[in-house]
Amino acid sequence: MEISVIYIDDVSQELQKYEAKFTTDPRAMGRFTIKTFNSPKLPADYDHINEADPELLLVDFNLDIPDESGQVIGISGVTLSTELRQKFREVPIVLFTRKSVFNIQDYTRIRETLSSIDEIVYKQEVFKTDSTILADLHKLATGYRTLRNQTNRSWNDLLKLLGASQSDSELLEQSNPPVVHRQRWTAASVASWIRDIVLRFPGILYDALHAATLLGVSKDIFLSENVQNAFAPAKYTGIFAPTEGCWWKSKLQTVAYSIMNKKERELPLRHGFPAAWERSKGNSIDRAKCVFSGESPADWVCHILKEPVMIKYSLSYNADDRPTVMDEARVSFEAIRTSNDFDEKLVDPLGRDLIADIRKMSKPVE
Amino acid sequence: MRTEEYATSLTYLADPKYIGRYLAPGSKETLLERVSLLRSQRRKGHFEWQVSIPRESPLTFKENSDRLQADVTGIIEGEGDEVKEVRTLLRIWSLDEALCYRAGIDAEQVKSKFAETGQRVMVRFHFERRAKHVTSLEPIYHLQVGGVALENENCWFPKQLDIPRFHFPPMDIVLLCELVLVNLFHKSSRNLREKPEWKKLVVKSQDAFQGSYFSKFYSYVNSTTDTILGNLIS
Repeated sequence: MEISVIYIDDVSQELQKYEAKFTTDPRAMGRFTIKTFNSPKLPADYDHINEADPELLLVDFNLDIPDESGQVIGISGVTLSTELRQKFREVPIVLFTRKSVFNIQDYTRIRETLSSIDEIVYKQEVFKTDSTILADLHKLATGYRTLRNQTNRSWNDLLKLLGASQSDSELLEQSNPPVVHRQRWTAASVASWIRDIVLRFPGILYDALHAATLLGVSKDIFLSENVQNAFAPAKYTGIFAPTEGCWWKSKLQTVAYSIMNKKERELPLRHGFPAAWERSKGNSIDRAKCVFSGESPADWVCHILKEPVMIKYSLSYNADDRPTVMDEARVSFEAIRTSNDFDEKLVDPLGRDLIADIRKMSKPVE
Repeated sequence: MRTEEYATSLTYLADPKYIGRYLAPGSKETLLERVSLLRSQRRKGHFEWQVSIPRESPLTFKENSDRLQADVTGIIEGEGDEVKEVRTLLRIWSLDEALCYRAGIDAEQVKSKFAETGQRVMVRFHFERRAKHVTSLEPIYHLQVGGVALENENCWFPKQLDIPRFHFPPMDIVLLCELVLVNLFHKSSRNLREKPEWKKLVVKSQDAFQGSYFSKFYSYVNSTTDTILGNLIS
């Protein structure tokens, strides 16, 4: 499924360079057809872009070089993206820039605040051999294409696209979807909701680490072939499904309970499932281990260290504006003691009172 | 406990991260309204303060899986940092007709009233401080089961039967909420009860409302001159 890409930059060498990359890179071949444009200055320029029928717009950040006729657009790629969004409401827009030029610190939370930008991609990333950027861009564009092609745009149509069950639908409804009852949705708003809320925050869908911790096992065990086969029905295969995979929390529970016997089902899932797996397979498996105490099975994931943690060794952390239906962000005592990323201001006053003691306390003995 | 500190505790209590998610619609607002009233007393420079949750507008929890519903009401009074009075009431309602009415034993009125309201108080607990005018022997802080019910509770305990009074520590709103979680939502509240912040919230109330009670209590445990109850009723 080839995607028609438009790349906008005011440096002709850059246009040539990335046109070649998107044409010849084995990871791009068969996925993209690319057309390049200098930054649009006149209404006719936008018409030319429109005529190219774009399915993915890549916009350079730095647009201060004059074109052949000496004209300069005079705005940055960020500003241009808002203009493009007005004209291309159903097409993903990616800020495609150099890390050295685009100082992300100057644009804190730009993706959350600026609805015109779907993604920020650093140009250098495209050249890295282990990069999945090209695959991710393709996934973004095909997701948009699916949304664009939907003629029926009710809430229920959207739920079908996600493959949500009844119980998940109720949770999704509480996660600030951009769809009001009986109202039709737009591709950009729905794409932003799915990617920036549903897929970003754990609660309804889980990445491998959260899924493993829910089940009380280590991430390696969860990603092992046998376990993956068992939990294949829980995998999210809907629109914008991430390359690294994610799973419906409700379906993980359903599959796990189907393996557990009556006695195991009486236990918390993170205790019952590993016991059930060991009973049915006859070999022991690693549990989710608390990053602070080493106890297992841990029951939460540290927001900063991205490691399992016991709730009792963590504090609530107001790191973002996630809907309350999502799992609470919590920070481990380990991160509080060791991580430079820990920001005391993001802890509730109730928890803040405990920080000095947490820093002084000796670690529990395993 | 300082009034501001208690107001902060109650505000956190209402948060969905704490008991907010266990509360019936409207109860969170009731609690926050009471907090606002408490703060306004402080702003006006009042030395005496009061938090009251009236029975007409209780702090009501959601129905649990056994179709039981708890609510909490009461008055807590203080002067400056000192707590002077704690009188709270915990009511357990049933929403299950089979539990509320025994055919052939209970009066038809009980059934018809249940049909009207869909609920009935099955048991009620008063956590009180001995009133100043009381001359009978009763522990300073005590628990009384029963008490005088309101009309809508569809329940009756003889007024004359106001005994026994068990010696019991004062229970403020936070401590009663913990009691409800442990008893009515013991599985679903496990994660909450594990949280250090929640424990801190409860410990603050323990310190403020029960600290001196237990200090005295433990001094009576080793007393050779009188029994624990003897000491507590004197």
